[in-house]
Amino acid sequence: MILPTAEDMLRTIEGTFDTVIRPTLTGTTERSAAATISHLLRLARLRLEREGQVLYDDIAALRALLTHIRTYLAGIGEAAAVAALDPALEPKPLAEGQYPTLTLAGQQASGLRGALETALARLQEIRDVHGAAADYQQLRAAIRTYMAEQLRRESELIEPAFWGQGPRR
Amino acid sequence: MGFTSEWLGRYLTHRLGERVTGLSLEKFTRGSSRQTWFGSYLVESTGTQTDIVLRTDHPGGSVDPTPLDQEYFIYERLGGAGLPVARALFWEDDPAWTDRPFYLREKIEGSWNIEHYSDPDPEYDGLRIAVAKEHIKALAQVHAVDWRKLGFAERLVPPAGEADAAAAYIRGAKRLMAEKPGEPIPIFWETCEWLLDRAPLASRICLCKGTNGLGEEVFREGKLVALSDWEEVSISDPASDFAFCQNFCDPIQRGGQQIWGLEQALDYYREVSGFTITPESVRDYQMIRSLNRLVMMRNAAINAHEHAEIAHIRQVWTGTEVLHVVKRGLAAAMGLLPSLPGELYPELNHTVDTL
Repeated sequence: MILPTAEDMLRTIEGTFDTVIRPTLTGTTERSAAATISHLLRLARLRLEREGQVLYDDIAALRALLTHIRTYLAGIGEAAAVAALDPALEPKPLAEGQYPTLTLAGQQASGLRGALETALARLQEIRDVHGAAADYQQLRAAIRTYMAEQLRRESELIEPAFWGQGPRR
Repeated sequence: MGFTSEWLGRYLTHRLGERVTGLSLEKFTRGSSRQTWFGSYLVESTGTQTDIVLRTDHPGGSVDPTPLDQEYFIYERLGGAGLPVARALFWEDDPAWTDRPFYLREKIEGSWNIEHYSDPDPEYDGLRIAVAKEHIKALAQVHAVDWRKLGFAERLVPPAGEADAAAAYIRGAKRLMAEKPGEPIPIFWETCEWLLDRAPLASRICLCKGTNGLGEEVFREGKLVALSDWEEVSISDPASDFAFCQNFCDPIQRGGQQIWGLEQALDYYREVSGFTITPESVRDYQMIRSLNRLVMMRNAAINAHEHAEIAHIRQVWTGTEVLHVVKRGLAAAMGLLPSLPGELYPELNHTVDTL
């Protein structure tokens, strides 16, 4: 570990910015931008601390959900939709020695979420035909559960950074 | 090529065909969707001083998914509508004069802010209610505009009829979402389907202003002198206008009674317009309109990613917290998550100069 950590430094920058710099500002433009900067510094620190776990959990949840969707679509003969899902579900191992950065994890989560959007569009298209079936309804409920969980995870980053912390602009 | 008072003088000398001195041109601090500049110029032959507003996209991109020239078109058409609206002056996209297209409109003297409006002292309740009523009267005028005659349908897609109003709005949001690649947001598409299943029947189809309330209009001495933010104008259900009415329909409780709020605002609207809008349809449109809000906040996130070096700091905020709040609101509407705390919305509207 290199001390102070990036989180330590950001915390000190936040404190110094709020107690030394912001009180000296008088213009609306400067005070407004400074208020936004304070919030975003806090968010950046929280993301450094927690985003890795948030993305790790999201990727696991998406993989499980997309596998569920694939099984359902294959079962009702939706071969094209299954073929569209498969590339997203293929394992994408890191190159030897490559560090799993936040950016890479974010890209992976984003790719899987994009595949969910595509699959969801197809599920919406076939609702008139399959919507009354219990397994269709269970799958749609599972998708909504994922959406709620994903937002709960996102909240862990957003809420402490902003809520109750003063004007944003 | 920057926007400066000297540049304004040169440009208007060219545009007006007589010698003009640019007196000032300053960027407005509010508004992260587009840039607003306030300026002033002097026509030397007559000594006439005129104030103007310049609107352009941020160098890092606009949040508004509709193009700037549509905003100019709307102002131009509104000029013939008999509304309190600033007159459109010039559209400019000639690279000889600007790196970014812009337009000019007249500036109407006043402020978005109203002294004491945000002071919670009950002494100012009367002021708050009077301002809200002023705004509702203006909205009734907007809704009475003959949009067909004025040609608004050249740029705005009207719904097929009252039963199609909500569906048309949702179709529009989906089209705008699909136009720009960015972070996938599955809940957007889930909500579109959910809302279509519950689409309300419009009471009528009319011109709707879009964004309303404190921060969106110009006031002078407590009176509304200009309707000023038309970025989300549409031809739709008038209920949609009450779905975005920053602060003006917020409940005021005194002595255990609600003396002002959405219900009273809609009663007053019926009084001045003769048309009934139900609170239920307003609540429906609060969700339907969230779809476009989500598209806009996602655009902010895309801009902040693609143009990080020059992005507007406020777009980074709207692309993070506000985008999250919109998503949470949609999830809450569908019953997937608890409602957001009521105090969050006023908190989001507080600024360093309203506290």
